[in-house]
Amino acid sequence: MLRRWWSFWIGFLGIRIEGSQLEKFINMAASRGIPLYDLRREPSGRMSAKVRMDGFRSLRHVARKSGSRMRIESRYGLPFYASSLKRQRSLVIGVISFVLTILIMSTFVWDVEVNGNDRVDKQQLLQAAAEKGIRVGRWRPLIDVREAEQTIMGAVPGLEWVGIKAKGTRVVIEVQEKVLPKKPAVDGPCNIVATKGGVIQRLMVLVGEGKVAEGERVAKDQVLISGLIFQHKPAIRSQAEEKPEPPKLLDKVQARGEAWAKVSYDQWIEEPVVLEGTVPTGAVSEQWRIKWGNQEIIIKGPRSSPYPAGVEEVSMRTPSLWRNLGLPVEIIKTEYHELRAFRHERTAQEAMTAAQEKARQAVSGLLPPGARVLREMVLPQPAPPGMVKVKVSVETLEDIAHPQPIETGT
Amino acid sequence: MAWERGKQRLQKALAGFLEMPKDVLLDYPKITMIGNVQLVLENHRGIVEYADERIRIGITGGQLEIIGEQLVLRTILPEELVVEGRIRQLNYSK
Repeated sequence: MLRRWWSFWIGFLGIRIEGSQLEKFINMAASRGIPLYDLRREPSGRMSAKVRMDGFRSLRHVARKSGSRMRIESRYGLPFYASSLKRQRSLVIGVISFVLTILIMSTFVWDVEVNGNDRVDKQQLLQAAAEKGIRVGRWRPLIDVREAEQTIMGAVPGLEWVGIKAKGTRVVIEVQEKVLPKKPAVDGPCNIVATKGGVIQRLMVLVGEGKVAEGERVAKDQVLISGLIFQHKPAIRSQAEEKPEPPKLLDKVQARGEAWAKVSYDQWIEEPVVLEGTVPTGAVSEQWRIKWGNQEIIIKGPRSSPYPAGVEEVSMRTPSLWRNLGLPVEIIKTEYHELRAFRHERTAQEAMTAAQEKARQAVSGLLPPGARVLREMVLPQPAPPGMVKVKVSVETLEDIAHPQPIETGT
Repeated sequence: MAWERGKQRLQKALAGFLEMPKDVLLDYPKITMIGNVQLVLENHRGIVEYADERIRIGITGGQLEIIGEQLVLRTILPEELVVEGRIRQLNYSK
């Protein structure tokens, strides 16, 4: 196999030998190390064979010695194809110029992409990159990637790291932004109010003036820590004066602090004892359609759902030719999933447990991070036949502090 | 001539003693056949007769005759040759 492949590159000849001593011809060729292939005996003292181009010259000598005549019948291999191509010069020029064009074009930048920017403007990055030569149409060897990275770092504020990668004709600028310290949730002076009603367990005032005592019950939106600082009046003077004048406002501050309170949640959950519903059986059949304008053609799969009960899931995709060039064709895939009805008989106790679990999940969805469950109480309630009903009371300890801006004018 | 025979006997004895393949020491041909469609012969001594239905090849100590139909000499190299076609018979002769 390999020998044949090699012969193709060197080129080989089909020859026809005529003579009375063909055996002698073969033996002489073999002993001189001229490989002959595909020797075929033909009637009336003739024989056809194939020989590599480099062996043909010495074969001529062999033919003379063995008294046989030799004629070239056909030529195979690359050297002969190449010589026939010489006549079709424009074709060769076309092939070469095509390859050259592709090679040359692939050394230019055709696309600049920016990744990882969230707050920093993409245009600003692209502009900074363009100043350093990273722009569409630029010859790639002229771009100094390290220097461009440094320049972009210096030119665009808010960047932590810049990495430039050249992938073929595409340059990808990857950036990592600086993580800035968190801004306060509210600008300007504010009060701390309660997000929920509860009993204050611990009030920690960092800035402002505490308005509630520990152990006090507060309502939702009640001010816990005030951002308005008033002057304390001495007790004696207020008794002496007839008309109590309004206290003097000293300052407006941005109140900060934590207010840990006991909050209780009540959930009533009704749950049927016998569960009924549908589950997917796992059987799926796919249908593929092609949409062209308003016409749709089914190319594969059933015409409609093959199952008596089921759901369908439709996904569409648009084939793209190259980059953002698309075809006005949509391929629509519909998956039919078979559903099966089920009926799950439970005891009242099992239903109760399930209801309790549901209530617990409902409560945990309401809790802020950091909350801790202190107590949990489950009370069975009277329920209509075939159902169970529970009341779940959960008591938690959580931070109910929430900043609220102070309205201007107060 | 006597010396030649003695050398051959020694070589045979040596080949048997050392358990070496006979084709290495004694110049015997090694024939490999794939079904009846291909025959590879190593260590040949040249073609004696070549026809469409009968090929005779010289080997050490005689001749090998291949009888068949549409016989083609696929390759011939100084030491090795390959015959393809429908082989029916192989004969050894002095």
